[in-house]
Amino acid sequence: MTSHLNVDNLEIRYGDTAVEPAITGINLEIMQGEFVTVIGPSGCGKSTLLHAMGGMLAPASGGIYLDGTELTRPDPRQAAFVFQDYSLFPWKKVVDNVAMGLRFAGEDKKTALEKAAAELAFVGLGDKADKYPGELSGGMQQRVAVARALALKPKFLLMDEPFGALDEQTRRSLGQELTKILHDAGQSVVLITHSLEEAIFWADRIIVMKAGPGEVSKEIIVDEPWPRSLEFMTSERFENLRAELFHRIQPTTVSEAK
Amino acid sequence: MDTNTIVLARGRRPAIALNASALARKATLYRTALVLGFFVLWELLANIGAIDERSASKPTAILAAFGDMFAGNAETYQALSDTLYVLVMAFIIAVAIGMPLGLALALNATVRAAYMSIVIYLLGIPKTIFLPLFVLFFGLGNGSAIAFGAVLGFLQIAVNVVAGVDSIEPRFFRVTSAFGGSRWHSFVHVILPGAAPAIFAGLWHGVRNAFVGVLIAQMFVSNIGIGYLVKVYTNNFQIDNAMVLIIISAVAVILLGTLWELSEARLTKWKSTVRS
Repeated sequence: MTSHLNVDNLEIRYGDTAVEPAITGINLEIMQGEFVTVIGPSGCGKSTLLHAMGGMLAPASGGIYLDGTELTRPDPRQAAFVFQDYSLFPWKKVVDNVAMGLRFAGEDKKTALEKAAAELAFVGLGDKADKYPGELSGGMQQRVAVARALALKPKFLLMDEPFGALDEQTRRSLGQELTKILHDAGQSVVLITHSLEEAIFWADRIIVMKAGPGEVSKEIIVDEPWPRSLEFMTSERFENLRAELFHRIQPTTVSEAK
Repeated sequence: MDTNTIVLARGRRPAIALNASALARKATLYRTALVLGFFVLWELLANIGAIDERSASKPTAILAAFGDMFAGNAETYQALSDTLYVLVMAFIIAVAIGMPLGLALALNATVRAAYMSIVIYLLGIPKTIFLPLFVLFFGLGNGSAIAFGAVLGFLQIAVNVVAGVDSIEPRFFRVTSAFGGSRWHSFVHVILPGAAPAIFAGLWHGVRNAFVGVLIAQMFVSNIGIGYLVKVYTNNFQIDNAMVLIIISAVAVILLGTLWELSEARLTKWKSTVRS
């Protein structure tokens, strides 16, 4: 059966009702196998939306539905997170970090470790299983975080600026490599980014948000076929999309700066 | 340059590279020289009469007394075993109270708001002033020493547990929740390992404080143990014997500290991999 994640008229508030909502009136439908990027100015509620999609925030109104069932608490087998700061436990070895979600889900230790080792091999870190996260580079740590999420075979992968803490070169190469892996695996992904290039290059669909309160201002389909080559990044179509995104998020950014 | 290399900058001189193991060897040499130098100086000053041998003794006399005290002197062995027993009991009680108290203070906002200030005040008060009260409650002997040692130990343990839990970054709780972890998972997979370095430090401070408490109690309100014997020997001007027990106590603490460090390094090996 094809899964789909449905965001229905979602509103999230921090604090009392007198305060402006963080996000409001969000309606989205994300299909299985789709790679969706979310972009918008700082403070527009991108991370709030993602956390709500993963059951980490309770809606003030509306809801999140996965295959028609409302998601009211985190369920990593449905939607698993990859955070910008990796959030790997420094006191656990890499393989134990990857096995963590499986152990929480009640899998026995042996099975969890076997699956974790396989997932590490999948992201190219099979030889780092017995290291501690502190012994790995930032890029490697983020691969471990991706493996930790994938180990649960989630229907949707929720990535919150996963490459934001990396240097430009690592960000680009790791991003290309991981998104290819995810595309090849048919993994459904919702990815938040600040980078216009990342938002276009990796996406089947771009969700553009605006601030004050956070709302979806535009959805853009990127119908470039996969696998995407680097030539796409220098194409006229890419430049046009980039210009459109730039103008859509620019006015809010300028008003914020004022 | 390998990862074990430490670069030291000395004034305007160019930075020099010193291998970590070479540095450790050099540091041990310096430390040994200082200790030996201290004993040689002590001996010399006593021999030329610059310090009073009757009140401060001297290393060769202490060495001779050491042999006498351990050659068939049941009193010494009894004092050592009594003190060890009292210390172990005091420490067990300190851990049994300090750990749960620290966790309750760290994890329950109401408990923390109600009692943390009391714990902090108690930690700051010189507790020796309460020693006579322990005699009233527990009588002369092991009871008072155990109770006093336990009180000095458990407060330190509790405060360190609180500090350890507070030092855990919120993102680790967030990721536990995001991956479906329960409160129990948070406790086992985040709180205990995350606070382990501070808990280890707290246990060390706890056992050290408990030892201080036990010795003080034995000196002033007890008639057994090392503390009591040190008092008796000092009152009888048997300074050599008192010095032997003082040195044994100091060496025991140093050995215990070394063992503690080795255990901590082994059990919290990950700490050395975390970059600042």
